[in-house]
Amino acid sequence: MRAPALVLIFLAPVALSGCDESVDPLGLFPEPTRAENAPLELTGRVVDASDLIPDLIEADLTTQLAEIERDTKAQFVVVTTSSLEGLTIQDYGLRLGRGWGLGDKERNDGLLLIVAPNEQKVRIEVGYGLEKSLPDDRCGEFIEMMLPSFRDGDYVAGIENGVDLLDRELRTKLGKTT
Amino acid sequence: MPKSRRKAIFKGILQMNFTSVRRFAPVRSALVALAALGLASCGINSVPAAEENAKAKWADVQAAFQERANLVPNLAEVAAGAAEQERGILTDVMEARARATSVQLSADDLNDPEKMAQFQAAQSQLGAGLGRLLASFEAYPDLKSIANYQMLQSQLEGQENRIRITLRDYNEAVRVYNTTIRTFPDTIGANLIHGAEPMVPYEATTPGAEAAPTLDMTPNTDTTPGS
Repeated sequence: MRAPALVLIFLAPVALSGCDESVDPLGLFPEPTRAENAPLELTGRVVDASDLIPDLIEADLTTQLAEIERDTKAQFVVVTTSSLEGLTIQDYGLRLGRGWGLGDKERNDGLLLIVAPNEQKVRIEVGYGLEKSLPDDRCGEFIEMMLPSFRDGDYVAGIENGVDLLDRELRTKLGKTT
Repeated sequence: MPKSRRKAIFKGILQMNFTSVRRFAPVRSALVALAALGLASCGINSVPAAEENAKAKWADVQAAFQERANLVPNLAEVAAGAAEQERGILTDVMEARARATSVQLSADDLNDPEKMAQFQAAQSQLGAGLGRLLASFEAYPDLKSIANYQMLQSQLEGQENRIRITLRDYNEAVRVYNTTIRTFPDTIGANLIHGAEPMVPYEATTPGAEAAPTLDMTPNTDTTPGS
């Protein structure tokens, strides 16, 4: 006769702690995945953290990138960074892309051009949804075409060239041509 | 059910229990119902959700490895112009590819460390072979100037990166799943209802062995081999 009472006393905290409404009572959400924090703040379509791009050109690029989004929907951000923080440029780019949540959630059509002058690296980071339009070999070609300017230390020309190349390619594959 | 109301019910039952256990036969069934309610909330949804997520991430891993395997035959064409030694490596790579594509790991076997080890070994072997082959190609300036080779190199490089990302995402999903099934209260549902077993993460035997070393697109002038 005592037994049920005891069991109940034992069970009550189990039930209560297990099903506290403040902590997901129905177990609908599994433990959250670790968030990938972007190493830079998304300040605009041109994130010139390493201060390579003069303001006027930055404004022009911003306009061009906005037009790309208007016509092809792809969200294209140009990044310069003074440090990759010890990461490979691939990992750095992935953190930026995921951390910022570039592109449409369904279409996954974010695009990054990353220039790290101190590490002497450049990369085009393509969202899953754009991989068909911008396959690896094509991006490799674009990088090759940008490299001569970078080798001469003319980062701005290299970036402008890269943005133009990607602009044209996106318009050819996805949207309106100008 | 609002918290306050549920608490009130608990309170009611507890009081009844202390004062008048015998008079209330329904207490026993209430107890069972209460236990069921409590347990039902504990991991009944979160466990399969985490499991499905990990399995989906594993599908991405397999797709990424498969795509790499699909690129290998294109290397044969490039290697045709290379010397005897490279053709030997190429043969090794083709064999490793055949093994890697034959060792599959279904999502239901993700809690089998042995099968996972086999899968990893096969993929690591292919990755290492590809790395050796690409490294040996570096010695041929003529080869590097062939557009096809450059294209292939970018594709392989991109694919290795994609493999790395899918593996990391899979391992993270496994971590979440394994934590979920071991953490109270979800562990109750995980053990009683789902019979959940922990999944095995993908851990390369040597760091980076799953992926062939990639060549950075470094804007440096001194990219000649050996310098």
